Amino acid sequence: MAEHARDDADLVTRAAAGDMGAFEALVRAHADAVHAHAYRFFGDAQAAQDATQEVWVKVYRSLEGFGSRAAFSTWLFRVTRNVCLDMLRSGRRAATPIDPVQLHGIANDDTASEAVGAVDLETAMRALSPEDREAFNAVALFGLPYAEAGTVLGVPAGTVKSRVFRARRALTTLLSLDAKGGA
Amino acid sequence: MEMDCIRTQATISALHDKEHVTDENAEAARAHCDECERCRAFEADLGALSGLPMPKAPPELIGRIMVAVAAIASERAQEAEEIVPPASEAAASDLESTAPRFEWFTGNVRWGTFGALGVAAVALVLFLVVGTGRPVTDKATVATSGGSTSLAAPEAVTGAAPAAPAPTPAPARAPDYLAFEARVYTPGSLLSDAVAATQSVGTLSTAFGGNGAPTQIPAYRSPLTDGSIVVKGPDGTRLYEPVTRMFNSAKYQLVAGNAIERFGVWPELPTRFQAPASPDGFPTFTAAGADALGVRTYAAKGVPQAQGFAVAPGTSATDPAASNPNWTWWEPLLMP
Repeated sequence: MAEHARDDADLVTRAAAGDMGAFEALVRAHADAVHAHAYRFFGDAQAAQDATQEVWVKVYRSLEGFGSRAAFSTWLFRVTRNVCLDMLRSGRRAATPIDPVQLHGIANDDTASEAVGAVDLETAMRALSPEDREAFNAVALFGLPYAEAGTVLGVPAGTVKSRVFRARRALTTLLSLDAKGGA
Repeated sequence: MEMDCIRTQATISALHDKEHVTDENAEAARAHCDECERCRAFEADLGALSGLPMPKAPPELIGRIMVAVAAIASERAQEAEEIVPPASEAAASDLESTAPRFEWFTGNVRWGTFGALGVAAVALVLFLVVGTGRPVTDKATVATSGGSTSLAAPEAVTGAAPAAPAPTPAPARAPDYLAFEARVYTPGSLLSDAVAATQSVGTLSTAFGGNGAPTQIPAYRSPLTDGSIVVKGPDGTRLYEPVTRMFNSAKYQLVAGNAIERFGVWPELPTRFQAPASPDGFPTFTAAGADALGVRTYAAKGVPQAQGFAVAPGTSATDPAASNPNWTWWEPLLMP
């Protein structure tokens, strides 16, 4: 994590100085996380791509002002979250929630391996509450510590811990990873 | 200390994220797992969950992103060029010995510092008017626009007008120009392979910066719509931007009559034009106006300026002609 942060800081410095190769390296290193968050937010591939492009355009425009006041991954998560929320608020895109009850019906099937095939991770993700999902994404996709995720989300680190745990329990259950059930 | 399943799994989840957990809690969770099959399974499931594939950004999306940011970089470079106000050439030439040159604008452009240059220009005018008791020229005006002030002196436009001062000595070597279909381009941003255009628009002949024989290489369609082309050179795939100047709110590109087959070669007039025998363009050209930078333009007989115009030698190094020692010819920008 610390090694990645150092690499990111170096790439950001070079990209801000006009090194397009460094900026591309940043994009390649983090595009999947941005895209995955957006995909989970909108549940739509095209919206995810639009949001991902908009995030990186905003990042590029703001590189000079970024400095090193925060970890790049924290800043990137903040930009990603804001872009998705802005797209939603502006009415350009809509989130597509799925009823978690339907997922339980599949996930509780006797043939757990088939259930995993039928309900993939991304489908299960949509069953999470938006709060739990974005906390999970901040930590699992962007690698943010609870405290930094809490700063971006505007909640205490303990709340992030609870949300991430709740998301994990739901996902392992929905995906039948926890075939023996939880406590 | 004993833990129930919920607290144990919450602790396991935090440990999975490498968050700080007290030794006491970690020990209690470990002890609970030793005796609880469900919590051991949860711990294993976290590993499985982490290993599940997440939606990947499509490779072409990264290319699109890089094209978008390359367009922004290009816009920024263009904006930096356009910050130079019309007719600033005269003031700039007067101030050249004391003021920073164009690098000033292409670096960290700040209107505050640019305003300082304007104030210096005003001060110079006031000094000449008040100090000498006469205007700089009969038609000199002080033009204020967009927070900047500049000296607008029609007689002082660059480009070897008969009464113009001696031309700026030309640099010994031209910029790193390429010529494609007789039009001149200058190096822009490096592009990644993901961005590299694949649609060839023709070939050009160059040895780049080397001394060897020039070779025919393909020029590719640019992902941008600014008239640039993409060329794969020794340092990678690069945008080559058209050398342009603004005239009557339109872009005109430098056209070369000679072969520019390696970096450092100055463009010359198209061969259909006889080299002027006089600094005023006679007998080939006649002074006809000025471009957006206040550089004098010259019309060729029988050719409307909208279709092309000439610029005399002796422009400043920051002019698009870059102190070319030759007359240059400019035609409307075309998209390759």
